Amino acid sequence: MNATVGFKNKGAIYNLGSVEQIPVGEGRTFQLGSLAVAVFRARDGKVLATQALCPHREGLLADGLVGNNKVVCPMHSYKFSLLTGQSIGNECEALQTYAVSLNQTGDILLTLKHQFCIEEANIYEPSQQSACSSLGSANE
Amino acid sequence: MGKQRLVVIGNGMAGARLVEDVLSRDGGALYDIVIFGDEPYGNYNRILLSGVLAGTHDPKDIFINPLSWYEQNNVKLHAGVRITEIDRVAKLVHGADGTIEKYDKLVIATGSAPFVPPLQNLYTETGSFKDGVFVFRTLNDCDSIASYAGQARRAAVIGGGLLGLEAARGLLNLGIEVQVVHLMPHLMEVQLDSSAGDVLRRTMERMGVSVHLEKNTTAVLGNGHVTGLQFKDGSMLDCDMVVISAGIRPNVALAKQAGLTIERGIVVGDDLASPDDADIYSVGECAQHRGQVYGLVAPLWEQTHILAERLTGRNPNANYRGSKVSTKLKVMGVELAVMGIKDAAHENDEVVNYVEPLRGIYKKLVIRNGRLAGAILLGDAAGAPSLLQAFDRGTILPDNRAELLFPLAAESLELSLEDMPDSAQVCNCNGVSKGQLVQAITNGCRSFKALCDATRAGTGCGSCKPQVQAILASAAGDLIIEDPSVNYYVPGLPFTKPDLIQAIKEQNLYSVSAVFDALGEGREDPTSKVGLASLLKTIWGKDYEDERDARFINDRVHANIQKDKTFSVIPRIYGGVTSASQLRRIADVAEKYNVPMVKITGGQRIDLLGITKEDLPNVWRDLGMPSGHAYSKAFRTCKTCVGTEFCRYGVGDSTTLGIQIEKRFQGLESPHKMKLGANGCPRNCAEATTKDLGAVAIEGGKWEIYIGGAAGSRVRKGDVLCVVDTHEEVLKYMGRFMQYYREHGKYLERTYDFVERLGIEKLKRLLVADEEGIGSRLDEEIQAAVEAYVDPWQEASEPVHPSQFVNIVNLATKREIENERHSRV
Repeated sequence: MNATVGFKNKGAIYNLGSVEQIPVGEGRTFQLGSLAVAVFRARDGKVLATQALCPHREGLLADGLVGNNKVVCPMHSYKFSLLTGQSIGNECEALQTYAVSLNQTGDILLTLKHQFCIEEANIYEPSQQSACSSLGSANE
Repeated sequence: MGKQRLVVIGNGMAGARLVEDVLSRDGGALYDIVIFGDEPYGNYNRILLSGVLAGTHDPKDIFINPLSWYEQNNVKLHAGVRITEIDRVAKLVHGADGTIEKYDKLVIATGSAPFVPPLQNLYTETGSFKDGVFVFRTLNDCDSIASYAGQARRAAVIGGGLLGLEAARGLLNLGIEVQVVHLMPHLMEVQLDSSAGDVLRRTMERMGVSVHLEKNTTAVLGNGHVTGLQFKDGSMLDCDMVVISAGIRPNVALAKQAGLTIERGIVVGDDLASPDDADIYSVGECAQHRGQVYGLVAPLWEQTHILAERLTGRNPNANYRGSKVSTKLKVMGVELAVMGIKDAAHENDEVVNYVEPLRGIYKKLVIRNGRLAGAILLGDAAGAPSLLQAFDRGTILPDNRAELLFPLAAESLELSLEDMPDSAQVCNCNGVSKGQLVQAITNGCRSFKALCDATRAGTGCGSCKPQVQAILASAAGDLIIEDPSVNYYVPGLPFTKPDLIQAIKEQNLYSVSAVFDALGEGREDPTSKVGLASLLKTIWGKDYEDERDARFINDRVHANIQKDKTFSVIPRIYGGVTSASQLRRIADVAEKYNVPMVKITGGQRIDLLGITKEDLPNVWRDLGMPSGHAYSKAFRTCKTCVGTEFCRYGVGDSTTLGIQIEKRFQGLESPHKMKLGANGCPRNCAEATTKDLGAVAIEGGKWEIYIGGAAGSRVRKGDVLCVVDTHEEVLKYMGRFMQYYREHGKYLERTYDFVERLGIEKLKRLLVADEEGIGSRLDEEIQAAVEAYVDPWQEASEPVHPSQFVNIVNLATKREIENERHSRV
């Protein structure tokens, strides 16, 4: 995998590789160190990302049905907004959402915010210069 | 142009409902809405007043909209302000307190007032009722009656109609002796025929209410307070309290003063406007349409709906054409449903009657030209929902009239639910109790969908849906909001299945995304994708454009997802007949992949549980067996017994038949899964009588074909579709039924619901007698579907996408990345 790195606002940007890894309209789970992220490639062209596991019973959200900025968990059909992470129609914790974009060559760029890095101490951190690097990584 | 002013006189059930209907059609953007109410509250459900009197309902529970609702919706409410004058020239209304409001559109919904017969000695010198005499119409009346009853011993209710009996029940619950005095020869003569009235009288007398029929009250006895009643025939009745409930009269004084045409009520046309003034409308109990004044709530709902359509411009030409009158209620705790006419009116009208006086049950149907013209169900309203439906839609009734009077046990659920404690669990999948449902209904979930969405009840296996619906019906009563989306094929597109099929065919929509583009304004609804994919496959067969994102995960990877995110793999074992070499291969795979659990399934196959997504293609390749489709909404399996091959009781070759069935129908998509069975004799070892489709060998070399059996969340014995002579014929009629089910079943409707919905007699006529000549087309369609079948496990060697079986994209570990980074640098 060709994960390369950039920096922005003390956070870090991760290159998850080509969007072609995700079939149109579906999602896939990407594992960065101990952090798992679900990335969705919607039919309307939007690429969106959330935490990988459903807060209800840990279903893999990337295997869910996607449409109209929503995902339906494959486990028990809990529905979430991919824009806000809010649960729709169920009383359930909201999903963590992540900012993603595509670069010119169609690679997925995932931005992790600084404060998020601190909360997730075990995050894969590709650069010593990153704001989070002092917290170390479980993968080392 | 600025907003117009919509003024509504009357904040009762009609006036407030009209405002709700206008608001729900975005009428708030068109109108500044003002509403006047005579009573000093928000609006309440008058139907439940008897419950308040009886102490079964708290007054605060019968409010539909609290005062805050008016504020939130920018509706200006003048509570407790009576309108004294309508000035049609200046378009103003004048309130008794000096309030003046201008209107562009005026709706008169003043309802009705109790009719008080001219009795001697009824009034005191000051013009009020004599002490101890009441009418029963408002919350205030309820209050006065209840507080006076504390000191009373013996009450007389004048009027044995619906409201009178409701008042009687309330009084009885307050612990006093109750006498009902009625002018007519039998009770509730408007709704009941004389036999039903007689049954009801006996039931009431058993409860301790004395009934006096054909008594014309002429005077109230007593000086300071009431001591009795005097009748025209010279007899008298002792009582120290009187409730007058002798009918209602529309409140028309205001409209009359305004110069509008009045007959019994305020005359309106099909546009619900007065013929004298196109800007003045009337709805509810005060309105008279085509000679009819309605006193029930359902017609009133229809009127407010039509008027809101017109006022908001949603449908400026909406016309009200009168209502078919039907109602379902409780009289003194006794179930009653009435609809249409109560007696035969034509020579050829057919009357079906059942009377069981001891239990207070009376049932009557009046049938004209095969359709329901009227019905009375007293004491047991179990069949009411389906009869109401048949009455409203004018459908042809089944030939077996007894079925109509004595429906299946499932339909009588509603009765037992009322007795259930609040703590009782209704939805066993999501743990939702009756109390939670009732709470959600009280909080405003008044449609079935809103209730299920809010509580998750009915969203698991779905078998509790009839109970949830019944609880909604009893808790929301007439306030239920019909949700058109319950008839949609999928939740995200406003089409019934036939309409959707028509649109898809007309516009040549071959893929799920094409359907959303053409029919859903380009907005894909994720909860609708799977249902659409199933439908498109059924419509287009080979020409269907498969989009994998429209499939549920199971159908993307052809295995059944488990709670730990692994999958179960069930290879097809045709008819449950396997071999040593097949078993050896399965055993080898189980060992090679360290399969955590190997289990014999209920469908006579072997399940390998705990396979990771990545391993799926390898497992299939090593097995070298086709998919058992234990994961999709499709034909699943055909369970067999050994039949004539070994069994000493066998009368038919069930294993060969089972294998033929599986080979033919394997993987065939359908609205829901289909589990089949084939028995070699009627001992039913393969449980074919409780399968979606089953074949049972009977003596004489024949096969019975069962459809619509169930042994899941519901248990139901299937119905015999037909009896045939050969395996080929079994396959033919099973195929016909499957294709018909594929075309007409609602998405996720199991065969047992489907067969019940259509009725076995109809299915026999269509599929066996072939009365509409569709048999050969169904045979051809199913043949085409069978020929289009491809074993999905072939995707082991040819995945549809390189990452079809990728579970997690593992980005390189830190060390590797760093190396890479360094090497790049």
